[in-house]
Amino acid sequence: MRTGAEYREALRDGRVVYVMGEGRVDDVTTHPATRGVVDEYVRWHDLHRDPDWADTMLAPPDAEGQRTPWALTGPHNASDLIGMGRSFAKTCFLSAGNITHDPAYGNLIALGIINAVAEHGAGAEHVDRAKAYHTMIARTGRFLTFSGGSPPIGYRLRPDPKDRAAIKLVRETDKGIVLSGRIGMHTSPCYAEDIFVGSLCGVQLDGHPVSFVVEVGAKGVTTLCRKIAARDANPFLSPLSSRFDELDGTLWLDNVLIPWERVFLIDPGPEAVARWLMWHHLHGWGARAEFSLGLALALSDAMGLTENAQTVEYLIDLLAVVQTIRACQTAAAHEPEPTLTGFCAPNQRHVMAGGITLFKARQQIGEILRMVPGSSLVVAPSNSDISAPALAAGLDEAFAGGGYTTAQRSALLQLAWDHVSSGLDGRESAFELHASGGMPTWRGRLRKTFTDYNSLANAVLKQLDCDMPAIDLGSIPAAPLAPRRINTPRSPALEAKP
Amino acid sequence: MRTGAEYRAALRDGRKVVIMGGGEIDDVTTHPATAAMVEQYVAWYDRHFDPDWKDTLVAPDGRPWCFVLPRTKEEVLAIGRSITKTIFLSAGNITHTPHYGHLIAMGVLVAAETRNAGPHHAANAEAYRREVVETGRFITFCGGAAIIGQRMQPEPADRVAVKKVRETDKGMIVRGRLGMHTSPAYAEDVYIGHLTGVQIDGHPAGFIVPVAAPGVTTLLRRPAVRESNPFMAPLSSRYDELDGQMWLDDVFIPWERVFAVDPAPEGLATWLRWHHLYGWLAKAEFTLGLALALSDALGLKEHDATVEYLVDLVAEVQVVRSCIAGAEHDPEFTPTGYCVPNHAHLGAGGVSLFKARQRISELLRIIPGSSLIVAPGDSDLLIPELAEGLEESFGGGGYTARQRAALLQLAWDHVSSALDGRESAFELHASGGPPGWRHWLRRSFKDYNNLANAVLDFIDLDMPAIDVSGIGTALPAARRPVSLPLKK
Repeated sequence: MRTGAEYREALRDGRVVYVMGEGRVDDVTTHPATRGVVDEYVRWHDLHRDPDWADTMLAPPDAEGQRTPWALTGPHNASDLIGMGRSFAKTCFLSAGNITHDPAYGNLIALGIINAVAEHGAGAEHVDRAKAYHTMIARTGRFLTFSGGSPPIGYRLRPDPKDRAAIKLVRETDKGIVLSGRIGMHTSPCYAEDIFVGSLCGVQLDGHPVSFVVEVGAKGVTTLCRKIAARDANPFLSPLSSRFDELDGTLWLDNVLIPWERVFLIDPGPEAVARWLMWHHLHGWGARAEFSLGLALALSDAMGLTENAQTVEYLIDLLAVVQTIRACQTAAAHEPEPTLTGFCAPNQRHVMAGGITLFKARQQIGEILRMVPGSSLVVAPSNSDISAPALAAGLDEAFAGGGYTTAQRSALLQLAWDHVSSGLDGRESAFELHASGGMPTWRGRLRKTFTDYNSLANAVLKQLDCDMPAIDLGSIPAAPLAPRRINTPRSPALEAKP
Repeated sequence: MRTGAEYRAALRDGRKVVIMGGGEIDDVTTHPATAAMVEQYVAWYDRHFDPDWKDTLVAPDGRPWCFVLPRTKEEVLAIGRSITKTIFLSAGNITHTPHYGHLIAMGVLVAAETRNAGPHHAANAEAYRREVVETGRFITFCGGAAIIGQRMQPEPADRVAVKKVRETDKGMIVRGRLGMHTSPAYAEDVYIGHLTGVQIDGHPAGFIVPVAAPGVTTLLRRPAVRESNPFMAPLSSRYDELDGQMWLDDVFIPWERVFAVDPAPEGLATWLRWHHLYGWLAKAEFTLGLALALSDALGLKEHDATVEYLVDLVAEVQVVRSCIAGAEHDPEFTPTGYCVPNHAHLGAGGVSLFKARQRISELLRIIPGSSLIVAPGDSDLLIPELAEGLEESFGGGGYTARQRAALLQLAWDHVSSALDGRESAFELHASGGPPGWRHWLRRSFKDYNNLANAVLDFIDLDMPAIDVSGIGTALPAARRPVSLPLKK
């Protein structure tokens, strides 16, 4: 694993980055809109050299005494999944679940590419190409992020269906393919070095859907990041927003050469590539839920409510959700499923059950954390107010006591506010409702991976004392995932009206 | 393992059983109110000799999984598999079996070991457990709480279920009346928990009473009201396990059956809630199975809204399966090395199912449409002037009217019958209901201080160290106090 400093240096690669509302960013490592998250990624890399984190971040020594980072492991058994899952949970917690894309996630994308190419049956040469790319990722720690490849809204509303694809193949050369186009939302592109672009981009070769990996710093690539989550400039009031806004973005390609070794033929949908990704998403969501529970516990202490029966019931509501996710993740890692290329993947049914539970619970978790501290959450002062001579004594009288100073209690309240009532919180919700397909996709995946339709349906018939037709419900899991939403362009007649 | 016939014969032991609304039952194996359930237990025993069930019910070394005291994760997984397979056979309605009885005996052992009031208590508990293993004897469980009339006694000292009349060198003689417990008419022993208030050497005590002991009377609740025609009541007619009360009139309990036990809920219930959750899961899985079968029978398996309802059910079932799988793969161990499914994972599964239960039933009422309500019985199908019209109304699409009606009646009996109502009312109390499970989760969750202090790392300020461990160690909520009416 490279050092954080080496990672930071790698980002100075001539990339063209814009942040909405901020203009061109010449150097993401120093620009105020981006440097905070760069520093978090630097810290992520350096954790691998921290003795206190060794048992979390590194696999047990192999025969030669080498310890591989869990973040760059290709799992082959349940023990690998358990070790990897533990490292994801611990590191995601460090950002309260806000930084969801890191090089460990990139490693899972690369594993998913191998899986997708194998499932597509493109041939051994293509599988070897995908394996070589994963090997490079595992060796260098290069940071890869993910885009499904779908086009932005303007493309989808074009009158001619042929023009609605995100990317067009400009030409093929002996070195690769040259592409142009614009790609919709994906996350952390300005911090990553490579972006996997999925087959939703619409490019085909010899009738096969194409996915590819493009370098963020490549010639012809422009990254447009969304506006930063609005936050107070004072970190006391935005302890999370000021550090963990990972920035989503769109990608423009202008005659970009993609070498053949970065071109992968896969099925049209993103399911196979995402084989390990939903598991990581659930770890991110679990970390956010655990952080919410931790905050609620800390606040119940700071507000003197640990023995208030109603507060404890709120806490149990939170911990029931947290513990359900833990149970699902435990089961997923302990009952893994093999992939075509010999890797081991977490059991999808358990992961989906956990994800659906969290989708249902998410808003309630936020509301409980707003309820537990009472209205102090709304009126808590900042550190600058506490320092104002005219206010200091009064604020101390109003907010100090019970083992906490005004600054301490306020810091905790502001942390809670930033977690569940900020622009960062709103972005997280909006993002996760779309990023992995939202609730419809998680339900669809559970529908497809649940295995007992026929056995349960026919088992209940045994209670009846008459011959019954044998039931075959294979069509329920066999049905494809719901198609992506179709955007309907306005009719030309309507367009013509003033 | 004894045979079903041996079990049936063992129930003719002179027990005194009275059923509400039906008077005294001379022989539970032949009385119409109880005979069907006896046959279910007979089938439970005989299944252990069925080659088709061998891999599910019997360990490689020949021990029935139901009588194994687990020491490894693999044993817990195998025991769990045997529970889930057998409990599904009654759609989750028969929750008390000899297997559950062995889990009670295991819990008595752990509660005695935890209390550690003298080596003879644990030794006696282990001896009793071994007797259960060697004989297949069927034990059921009563917490020992007082019945409402006792709790209304003006004198607080009289507000207990059982009183010790006297002690002898061989045992103690007790008298009293015990509240709700399940399947006493079919069991041979009842474990009475420490809620009686009986103490031994200053310690809370539990004890075991043979159902047929002199002085014992078992009072069963009325049966769940049902159609007499099994076509209309395919579940109610077979799986009403009957709860009851017990009266003790100077009953002798030998000292070997009296145990000083730890009163914490985790001890005695070390394995019981695991079994409860399997029972609830079986009911949920049966509901899902019925919903799937009905979606086929009613031609709805490609109807989007129906499939979404099915996915709702699948999600609830899968969450509980995941929690149980997590609990078994990530077990805990008692100080003496017994392997226990992780209570925190189980608690999460139970709380989840309590929240979902009513919705699960509603979905099964929604999926078949109003055909659920107007489906005929088999006798209607045989009436000459109705047969053709009913066949026209309910036959077709690969199902005869009789087949489709049978499935609809099965669904009705599962989620709209008195048996369903009893199951709901029972489970809302039997293991403490939602408050009990929430409290159990509260006590088994381990990360209060870790999480509370971990968030403080996000604040660039010295903060007080937080200790909120009191939340997890709080005693179980006191049982509901009963207010006495004011004297006029």
